[in-house]
Amino acid sequence: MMRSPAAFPSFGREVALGLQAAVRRWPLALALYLPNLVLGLLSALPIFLAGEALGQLGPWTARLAEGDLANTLIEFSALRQASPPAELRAAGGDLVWALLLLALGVLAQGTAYNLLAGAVLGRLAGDDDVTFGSAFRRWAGPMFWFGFLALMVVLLAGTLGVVLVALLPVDGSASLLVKPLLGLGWFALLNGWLEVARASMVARSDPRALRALGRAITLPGRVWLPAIVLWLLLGLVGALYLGLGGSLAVAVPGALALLAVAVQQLVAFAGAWLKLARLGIALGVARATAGPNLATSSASRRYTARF
Amino acid sequence: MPYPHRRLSALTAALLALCLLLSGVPSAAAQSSGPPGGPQSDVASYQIQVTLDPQSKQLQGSERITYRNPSADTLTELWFHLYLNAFRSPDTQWLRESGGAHRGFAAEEPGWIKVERLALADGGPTLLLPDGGDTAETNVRVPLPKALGPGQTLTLEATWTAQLPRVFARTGYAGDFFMVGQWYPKLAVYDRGHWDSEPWHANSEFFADFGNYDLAVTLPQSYVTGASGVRQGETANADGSKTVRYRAERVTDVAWTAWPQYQAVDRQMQAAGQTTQVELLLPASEAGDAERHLAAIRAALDAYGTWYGAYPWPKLTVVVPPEDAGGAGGMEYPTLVTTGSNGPTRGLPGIDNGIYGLETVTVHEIAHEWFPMQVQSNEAAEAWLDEGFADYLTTRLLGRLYGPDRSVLNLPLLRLGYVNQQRGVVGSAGVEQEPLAQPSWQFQSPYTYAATVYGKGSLALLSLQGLYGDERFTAALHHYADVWRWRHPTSADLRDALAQALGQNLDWFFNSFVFGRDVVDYQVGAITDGQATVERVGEARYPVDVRLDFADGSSRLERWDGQERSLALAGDGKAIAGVAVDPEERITLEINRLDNTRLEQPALAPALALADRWLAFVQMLLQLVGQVG
Ligand SMILES: [Zn+2]
Repeated sequence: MMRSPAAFPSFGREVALGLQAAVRRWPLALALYLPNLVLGLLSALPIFLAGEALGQLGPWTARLAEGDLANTLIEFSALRQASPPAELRAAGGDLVWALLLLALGVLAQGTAYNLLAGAVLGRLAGDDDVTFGSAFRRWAGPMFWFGFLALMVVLLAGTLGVVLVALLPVDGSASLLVKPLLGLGWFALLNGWLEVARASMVARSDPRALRALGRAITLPGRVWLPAIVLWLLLGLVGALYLGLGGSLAVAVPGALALLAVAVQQLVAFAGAWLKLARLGIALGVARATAGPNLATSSASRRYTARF
Repeated sequence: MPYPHRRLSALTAALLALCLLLSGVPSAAAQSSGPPGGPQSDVASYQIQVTLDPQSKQLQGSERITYRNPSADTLTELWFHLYLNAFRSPDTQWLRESGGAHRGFAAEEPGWIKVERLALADGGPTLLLPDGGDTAETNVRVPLPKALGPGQTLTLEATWTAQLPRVFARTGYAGDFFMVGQWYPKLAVYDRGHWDSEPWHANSEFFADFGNYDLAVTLPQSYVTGASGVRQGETANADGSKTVRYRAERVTDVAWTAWPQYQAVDRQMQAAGQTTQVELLLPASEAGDAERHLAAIRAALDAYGTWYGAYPWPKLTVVVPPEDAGGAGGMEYPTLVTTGSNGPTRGLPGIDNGIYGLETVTVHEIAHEWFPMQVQSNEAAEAWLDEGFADYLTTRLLGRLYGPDRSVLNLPLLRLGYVNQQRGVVGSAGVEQEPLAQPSWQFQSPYTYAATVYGKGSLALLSLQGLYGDERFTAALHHYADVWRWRHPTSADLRDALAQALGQNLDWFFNSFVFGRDVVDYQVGAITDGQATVERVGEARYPVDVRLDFADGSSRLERWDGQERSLALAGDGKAIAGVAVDPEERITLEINRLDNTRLEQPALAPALALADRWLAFVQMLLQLVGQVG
């Protein structure tokens, strides 16, 4: 299965190798899952306290836990004129804390991901002797900078895409289907492009984030179409995961809290692994686009030999 | 303006009015007299011939009116509604009050009606109209050349021209679509000693006597038509037009619609032991929702008919206006209603079927076929007697069909009940203290009007239902409908009819919420030394259940009459774990339920369940963050 070093690497083959690496090194998903769990728990603690306080005032906590949000929250419009009981004030304070921790959690999750992504990619791409710690030290800085640039790109290009989609002359119920789909498609492409840019830094051992973004834009013509199809496909998988995972987490009755927690953790871990798989695939695309001179990295040769 | 009641002498009425003015207390706390002699189903009858000019959007009409003086008084004048004049120019009273818009639809083109001739029939003298019939008024006084004694009948003839507005505030055209309502010179009501001389206001609806209508509409042959009453036939005319005839009996009005593109669905329905011919008229774009409408129509005819007496007419026409004529939607006429669609979510898989907007409007409008189309209260002076009733019927029916907690929205992650929505509307509009029985035109805004008469009105009836139970209260309302069908009841008449049927004095309820400004507000006080206290914060003394929960898992339910400011409940030696006022949430008028319950110890399980839900939400959200870039 060895190919000529002078030939262009095969797109499909490199992508498959990347995916195989994600399967083989599945424990790497823990690195992406654990921050999610810790930040989630931090924000859930004040909600638990709020639930205790609110529960002393009637069935509100149980109803909220059962997902009956609108019917329950409407009762709070009565607060306009009444002086709220102490428990309600306490619950309100807890809610503020939870929201604050959630906002901080979003920031922390983004930061953690950017710090960890290089290490994960390094392990996916590298020799067994490239440790997680050494890859982390090598890539944390460049990837943090890349994450900042990527955020700017997402904000600018994402907003532009949303505005363009909103301006499309489609009306009625069709627009409710078509516009979100187009918006999701746009974000899937954007996301795929950014992931390949990130992966190309590790694939080429090049820590320059701006250059990585440019490289991903100027993909060789032969991989454009497969890359776009792949990114849309991954976007679809991601959307399905969020939909199904969300439904599954909600489907367990609130009364069975422990079971619900367990199911949710499985779902969250599956999500983390999905992210790992995306990084592996992005690595494959980055390699496939690298051209004959740089293409067949030592790592991919090794996978070829192994599998 | 407060209106006096029958059998109050003029002096008493004047004194009462003065007292009310001085005290600021709303009208009509006086005892009503009970129903007059017999049903009044044949007071004002009309034979109307009308020709539609689709180009100019004008109507040429002639009508023959037979009017029987239903009162014990001798009448020396008549009053006529000329509703379309409300849209004559931007400075009409109606358009100034409305700010030029109605339910979100703007007034774009004028409408008006000119009466060319009004005379006693068969060569009788011409009657004098203000400004020769070309007036800006919506309600005009016409002196009679000869007094009309009690029970006497007169016949009038009128010819008139009407300009329909671009569809707005229920009536008008949109391209070649026509919804024609409030469109002909129409007699006002003489009741309880006075003419209804109030002009048409932006928040006001209508009030009319019962009678029989023969309607003949001439228009191009390409048009599909629908109208109040039963279709009598159609003749082709030599000039290429056609004339369609309808007859409606024991009704207060007729409206009609015409559009070449209507699809018609006819269905014979068995409901509440009665056969009703239902005609659904809708645009092709709405055809996919036809079965949803028909199911809602059947459910409404069956439920309302079972609760308050079967639908009394042979036919019901339900109109779904086209998309560019939304201003025509959601309106009731005798034996004809207009409804609407779910709009942008139409046909959206997994979503649209869980949004009951379409059903809500359809069953609300059909509820009006009982209140006020059979029980014709004054919709302008006491709108809650028809809108509050219609929304109450809607709440009951939708709750039965879909579940009370999801009768507005029933989506996977979002559900909302109609009662809760109304509680939210009343709370957010701040109309808890608005008396229900006040004239539509005295409300501060369309929003406070709607929140009061629809929202608080239906919550009031639901609260009574909660107090007396579904069966007893349904029977009591049925009694009210039976006594006042084909008549003109007031809030006081409703009070007396309900009191009679329930065998209870309901003055406290009506004085608190219908005529007065009281609110229901209970709260739990302290739990100390084996004793719990509940308190009445609001002025209304509403009988309420109080439940004591004990540490050993048992509980005790008591009924408190709410007369005192507080009630102490002894645990009788058992440790009290919690106390709840109105634990079944029967009093939908209760303005604040957040202080109705107190537990001594926080419950762990619901808090854990809630925290887990939050955890799930946060983890999914953070995944989303992690998925990007
Ligand atoms: Zn209504």
